[in-house]
Amino acid sequence: MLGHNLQEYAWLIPLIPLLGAGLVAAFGRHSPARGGWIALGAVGLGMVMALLVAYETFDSAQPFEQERTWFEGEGFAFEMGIYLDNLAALMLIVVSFVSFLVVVYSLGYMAAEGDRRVRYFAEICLFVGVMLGLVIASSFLQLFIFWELVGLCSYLLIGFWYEKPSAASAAKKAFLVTRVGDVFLLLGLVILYNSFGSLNFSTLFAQLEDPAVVEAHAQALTRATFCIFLGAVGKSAQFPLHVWLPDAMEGPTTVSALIHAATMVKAGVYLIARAYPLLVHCPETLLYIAVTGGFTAFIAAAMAMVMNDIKRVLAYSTISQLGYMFLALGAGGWAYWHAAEAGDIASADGYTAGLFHLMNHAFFKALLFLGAGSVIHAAHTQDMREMGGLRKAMPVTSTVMGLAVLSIAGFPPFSGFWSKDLVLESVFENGEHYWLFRLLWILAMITAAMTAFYMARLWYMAFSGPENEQAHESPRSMTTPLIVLAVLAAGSGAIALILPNPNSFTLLINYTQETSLDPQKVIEHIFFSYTTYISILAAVLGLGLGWWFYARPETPGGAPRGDLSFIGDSPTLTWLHAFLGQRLHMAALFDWTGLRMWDTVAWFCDRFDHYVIDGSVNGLAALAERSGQRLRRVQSGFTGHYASLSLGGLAVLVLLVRYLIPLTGWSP
Amino acid sequence: MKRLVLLLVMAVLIALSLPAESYPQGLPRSGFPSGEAAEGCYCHGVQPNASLTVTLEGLPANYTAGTEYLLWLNVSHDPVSRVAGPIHYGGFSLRVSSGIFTDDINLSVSGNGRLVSHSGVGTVMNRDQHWRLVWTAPASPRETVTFNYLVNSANGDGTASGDAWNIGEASTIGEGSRSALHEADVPLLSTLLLLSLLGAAAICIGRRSPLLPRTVALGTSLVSLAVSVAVFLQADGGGYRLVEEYVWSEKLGISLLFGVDGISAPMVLLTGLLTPLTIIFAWNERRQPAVFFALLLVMETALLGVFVSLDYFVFYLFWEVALIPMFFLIAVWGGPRKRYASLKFFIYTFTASVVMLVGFMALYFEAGMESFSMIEIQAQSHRFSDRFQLWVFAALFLGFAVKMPMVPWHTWLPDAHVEAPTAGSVLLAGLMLKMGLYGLIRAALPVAPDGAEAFVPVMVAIAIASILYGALLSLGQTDLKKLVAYASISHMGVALLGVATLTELGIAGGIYMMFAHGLLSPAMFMIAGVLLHQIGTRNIPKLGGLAQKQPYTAALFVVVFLGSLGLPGLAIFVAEFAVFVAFFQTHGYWLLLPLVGVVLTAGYHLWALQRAFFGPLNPRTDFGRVGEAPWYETLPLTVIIGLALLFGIAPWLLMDPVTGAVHDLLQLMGVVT
Repeated sequence: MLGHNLQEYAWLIPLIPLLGAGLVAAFGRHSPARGGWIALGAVGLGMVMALLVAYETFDSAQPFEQERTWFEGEGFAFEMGIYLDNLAALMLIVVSFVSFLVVVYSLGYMAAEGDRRVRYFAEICLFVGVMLGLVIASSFLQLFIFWELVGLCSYLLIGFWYEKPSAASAAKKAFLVTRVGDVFLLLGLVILYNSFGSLNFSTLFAQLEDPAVVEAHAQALTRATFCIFLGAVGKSAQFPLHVWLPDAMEGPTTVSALIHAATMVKAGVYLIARAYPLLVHCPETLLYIAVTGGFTAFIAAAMAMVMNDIKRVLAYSTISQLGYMFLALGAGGWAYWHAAEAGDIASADGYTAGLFHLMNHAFFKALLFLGAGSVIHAAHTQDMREMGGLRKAMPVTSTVMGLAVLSIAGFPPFSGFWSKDLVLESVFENGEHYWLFRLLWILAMITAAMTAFYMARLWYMAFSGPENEQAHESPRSMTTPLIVLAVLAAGSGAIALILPNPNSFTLLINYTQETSLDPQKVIEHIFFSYTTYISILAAVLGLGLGWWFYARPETPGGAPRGDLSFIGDSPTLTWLHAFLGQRLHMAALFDWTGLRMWDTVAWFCDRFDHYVIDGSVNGLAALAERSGQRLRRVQSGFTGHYASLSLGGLAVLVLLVRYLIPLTGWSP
Repeated sequence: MKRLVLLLVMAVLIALSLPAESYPQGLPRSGFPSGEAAEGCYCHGVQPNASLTVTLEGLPANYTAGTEYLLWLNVSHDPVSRVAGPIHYGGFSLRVSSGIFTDDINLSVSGNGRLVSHSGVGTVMNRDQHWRLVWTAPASPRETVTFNYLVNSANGDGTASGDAWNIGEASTIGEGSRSALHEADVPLLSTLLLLSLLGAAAICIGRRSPLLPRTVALGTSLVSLAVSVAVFLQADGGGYRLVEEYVWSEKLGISLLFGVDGISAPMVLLTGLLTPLTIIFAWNERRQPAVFFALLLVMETALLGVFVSLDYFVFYLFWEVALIPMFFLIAVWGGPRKRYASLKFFIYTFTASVVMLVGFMALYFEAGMESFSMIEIQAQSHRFSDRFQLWVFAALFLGFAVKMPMVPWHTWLPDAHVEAPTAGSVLLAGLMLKMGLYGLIRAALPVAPDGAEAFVPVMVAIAIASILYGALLSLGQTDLKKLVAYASISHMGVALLGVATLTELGIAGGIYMMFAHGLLSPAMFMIAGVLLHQIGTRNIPKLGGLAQKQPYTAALFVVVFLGSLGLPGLAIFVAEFAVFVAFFQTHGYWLLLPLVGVVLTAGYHLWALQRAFFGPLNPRTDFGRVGEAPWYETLPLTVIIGLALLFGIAPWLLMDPVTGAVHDLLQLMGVVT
């Protein structure tokens, strides 16, 4: 294209937003919208570049690679560079596009923030830049570096309103909890480097093609992949490190949209997809990934059903949907391993499914968050119990939110339906070989119904009911991105599947020994499989229950009944409601271990240092001083005393030179 | 009665000591295993005889790998003591540590070409005898080759009278090897040392002027910075560069031997960078500014002296001299408990240094080179017994560990930091602590490689204890400066951990950590200084919400904190990563312990950040006068952030010289070949 191979300039993709961040920081104060337009330009330019590069990457058969040494010695070398394959290209599209829309939206949403927008737009640019850098990194080390910087940006943006203690706390919590995962990721990398002598994707993957190498390092590989997954658990807020994400709502809603849809949490999924060539040799890790994903999807959906803060519902929803992605990736990898063991043609449908869901989720979750931002903007509250009746006042917002709800609920033919169905399908197929996957499939199906329920609940609580007179629709700069996202949330699934060959999603993004994963067959399969109809049923059931509890009017046209007294009537349900509402008491546990326990240990150490270690130093000094006081009396002035002292001193010297020093074995 | 017993005991002891008078036989010390070649000599005399002069001619100071050299072993008899008349017979025996001797009809070559000799029996020896030897240098350039030789001359009358024997030693160093000395064309290092001293003198002359002291100090330190950058750029390429030697005492073998390599160059650069930044930060010092700035410059000279000295004695001198300006900085410009802190600092570290000095002395005598030159003594390390190495390493390690400081010898540090003025803290944390680890690498590792290896478990245990304990202590502090002081212990623990791996990556990581921590820890102390200036307290619970009052300054603070906690993109991460990889390679899953430290480190940094700068304004404190920090306080912070970014993004700038030098060091230690 343009007579150049644009991939050679792929390093510009993260660099442009990063430079944008610098420009905003330097000149934002004196520019329109306090740097908003600079940010828009930088992220937009980065997006154009990313889209072009992604297009070229899809076109080329081989991954593109560029490398230079970061630092090296006689026995080691670490490299930095660019690695572009279809996976990276997909992420480039999703990240850059959603980020761009979020920046557009921010122009309107943040208008009231005054000079603080300089910091906001600079940090957003930084965030987008480092996420794009993460996606095109050529080695695990480089990925880790950007991974940490993504964490940094989320820290800065979650704590955007730093004067609020809760925001400052949430920011710290996000950083520390993900840091726990990061440390394991670092350990995983160290293990990998120790076994394979490189952290470069291409070098590592090439080595792993040799079965002898895999066998020789089987244990190290299992441990390394396990640690790498723990890193993803932190970043992608999976159980038990999910506690930071709901608190991360303290930042501006646009930031939440970015974190949930395009950047931060998607990094974990990307990492696992990236590490697939390693993972397919480690069935234990893959099982663990699948189980963590399935379990997290379930409990997060359960908690989402009882939350009243609109952003918290969405946060738990994100955790739950990420669980789906991990479930699919784990199941796909396991299927690949199983088939390879059996000598069949190995393919990992779950890989395609998980990443398909990642893309669709990016669109509908960005839409949900930005829509929620629009609602909060209008209703001046985040509590859904205080909302209601916004449908007439906010026609655009309510419509697009409705589309997003249907999409995430898995209602055909919206995008969520296609990817969620593929996810469930991949898990179901594994069930033929291992009972655990059957269990996970049932869990995932229940989760699907719960998802439909809590999303219906959210929509009805916010928009249905008696009309709210004061509220009004958001400005154009906010609704335009919503409409664009709505089109994608509704259609991205179907469009991506039916794109003419060879651009269909399943052909571009797959991990298989087969040459093609025919989209036609995939669609046919969806239509003729009975599991599809079970999942549609689950979605309808969930949506219906949501309507039943939250929108069914007492009288036609009247207020929703919202009769939930049956919960209070049953002690078990009351307990369960409280247990879910208290976030399984995990937040309290983390606060306790995170603050109270370490605080106590630190206090103890401080006392120990003061009294024991420093105490003995000072004691020794005091002893020296006191013996000095005593010894002073030796200076008596009598010649006799001095004479005997000299003799004694001589004796001591003799003792030392003749007997003590030879004991050490050292002879001068 | 008591006195009588005492006298008796003494008498017994003295009696016991009498047999010590008879000295053991003076054995030739030069590398001949007993029983080989040397044995025949005792019948010709108890000690080497100076009437016989032996020299090896034709040996270059630096050899080229694989080249053939023509050497002459020249023997000349003292005309007076040589008994005229009788025919003298003699021969020689020469052992080389590396390379090969070519067989010759007159010589016998054995021991894989390492041992060459000429039988003394029946060979007539002229008054001036020359033996021709052909030696092929080893293929690898990176080592010191020593030649030990012994010549015997006898008149064959069956008695020792008129006979003589003598020994000699020569060495050559591979071109481009670690120990190769590359003489300086321009005496950059001595210029560097003298510059700050001259600046200090100029300040003392113009001390009455209100402006002159700080201007002169800044000017001098900026010139020093330029020179140190030049030094850094020339240090790459193996061996010691910019070597200068000024003999101080020929008799004792002390000389001002200066030189830099990839290990010391980063420290020189760091010193050059930090001094002007410190001076700028202290721009508004009101209390006796002339003396203050002069002390800073003297401090710079002392620190640079430590980093460029290649002579144990001179190294020790600079090491102790560095204490003096720091002592006064704390004792005069310090906080309320300055007397206690300065005395504790001085006595504690001085005591440890004395132990180190004992180690140096032991090395001097054991090597028997009558030279304090590190290069010469370290070339002898293969002759030191394991036991000796263990004891020497223990002594040196103690001296260095107190300086670093490592748990449990760390308690002087928080006291010194809390009381010291910011400038003192900056130099203390940024450079003085580095002297400890630098000394370990420069003065202890190569001279006692076996001792070091035996000490690895101890070093690892101490390093990990320091990492975790230091981090936990930081977590429990309310005084920001004390927090940073304990954080330094934790960070230096990581550096020691890297060195303790005795691998190229680990030691390079340790050195990188010294440099990176030398940038960021001073920045942390500057932050504490800014707070003290503006608010009058560094007590974290009394702070809170500062970011609202000084958004720009707070942004700098946040970046420094994040750099200090090891965020990638800033320099410390590179070091931590290198150390962790190396440590896993040598110690496996023990790595989990320092990794816990990583989380704790993030914890105390972020918690302090949150309590001090975020949240609402603390109602208990008066923030009325608080605003953005003045330029002379933000400028150094900005520069440091820029440098931390540079070395976090482009580690090869620093790693290239470091890894080369570390590889050479490990070769010298015999860890790698």
